[in-house]
This record gives sequence, structure tokens and C-alpha cells, in this order.
Amino acid sequence: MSVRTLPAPEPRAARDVPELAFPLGLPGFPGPRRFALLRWGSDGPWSVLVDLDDADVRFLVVPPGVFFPDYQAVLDDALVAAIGLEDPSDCLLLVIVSFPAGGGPGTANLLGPVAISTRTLRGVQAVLSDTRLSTRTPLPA
Amino acid sequence: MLVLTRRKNESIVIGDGIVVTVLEVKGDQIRLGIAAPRDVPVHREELLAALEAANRSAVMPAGDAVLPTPRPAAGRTRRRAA
Repeated sequence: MSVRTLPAPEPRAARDVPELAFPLGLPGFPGPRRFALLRWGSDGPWSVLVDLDDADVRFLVVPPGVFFPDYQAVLDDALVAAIGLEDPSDCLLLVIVSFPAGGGPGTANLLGPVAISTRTLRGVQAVLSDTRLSTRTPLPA
Repeated sequence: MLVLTRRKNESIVIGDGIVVTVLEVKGDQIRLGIAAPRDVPVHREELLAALEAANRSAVMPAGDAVLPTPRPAAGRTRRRAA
């Protein structure tokens, strides 16, 4: 796949996007936290999940179907209740992607997708119970 | 850490309505049943620990990034320099 350098998203843009409430934060970043989802680049699938109260806490995210079309996440009752998800079509699913500092292919965390209800604007990171899933699945070339 | 000893079919109650029951003991494996309110997350500790470590290492460094543009999965693609 092609690669290109994208400039970091403007922090000012966070004012114009909805605030997402993560009552439990994320594992390793305990909550409650407020995040914003900023598009990265005008086209392309990338977004950045930015902590509105701590600019250093930001994660590159992408809908899992972009790289993993067969990926399915089974969300448990606790997660559904945590974000007030009533209709599956309200669920925005994203996976966190990281690229090693020295360059090289990126990996996606398929074990812990981020689920956001577009209706309640609450989000949480799931811990899926499929033991075949990895926190570091290489992005397909 | 509170340390309790339980036999099969005995339970522990935690807080307000969380019940942990020993369902089966087979060799060095213990099957536990957890009854908890719907909004209380229950996870295997090592999975949560893996997620914490993954999140901490996934935090984006400041500045620009070189990101791949996915192509439709039709035929081979060539890698181009950024």
C-alpha cells in the first residue's frame, strides 16, 4: 500500500466535534475521560482519538473493516450497558493502530476495539474473549 | 489482598451484588462463575494487563505521521517511499 506523511490534526478542530464520554477511560488510562475523534487527512480512513484534557493522550484509530473485512466483535452486556447501546447501528467500532518508532508496518489492537455509541456519545474499550485475537495484529500489506 | 479458602460450590460476595462461585475444581484448573450487575465489567486479568500495555505503547507521539493508504484488495500493490 502507499504511504504518505500527514500533518498532525489541528487541536483547534476539537472544539467543533462532539465530546465523547469514556466513563471508564481506557485500560492504562483510567477514567472518566473526555475524548474527541478527529479525522486525520481529508480522505482516507484514519482518525485520532484525543483526550480533551490531556493532549499527550492520543491514539490513531481506524474502523477495523478497512484492513480486516472479516473482523467481528462480540460486545458483552457490560459493554453495551456502559455506553447505553440500544441499537447495533448506533455502534461505531474502531481499533487502535500503532506504528513502531523505527518505522515498519503498523499493528492493530483487535483484542480491544473501542466501541462508541453515536447516540449517547459514550465510549469504552472492549476486552474481547476470543483468545485468538491479538493486541498487535499486523496490518495487511 | 483478602485471602479466603473455598470448596467447590462455595461462593464469595463482593460489594453490592457481585458473587463469585467455585463451580468446578479439576487438577490445577478452577472454573469460576461470576454473577455481577450488567454494568460491571469482568475480565481475565492477563487480558486486561495486555490491553493496558498495548494502550500505553500505542499512544501517538506528537507531530506528523507516515500513514498507509489502504488499497482495495485487487492484485498486488507496490510500496512507495513517503
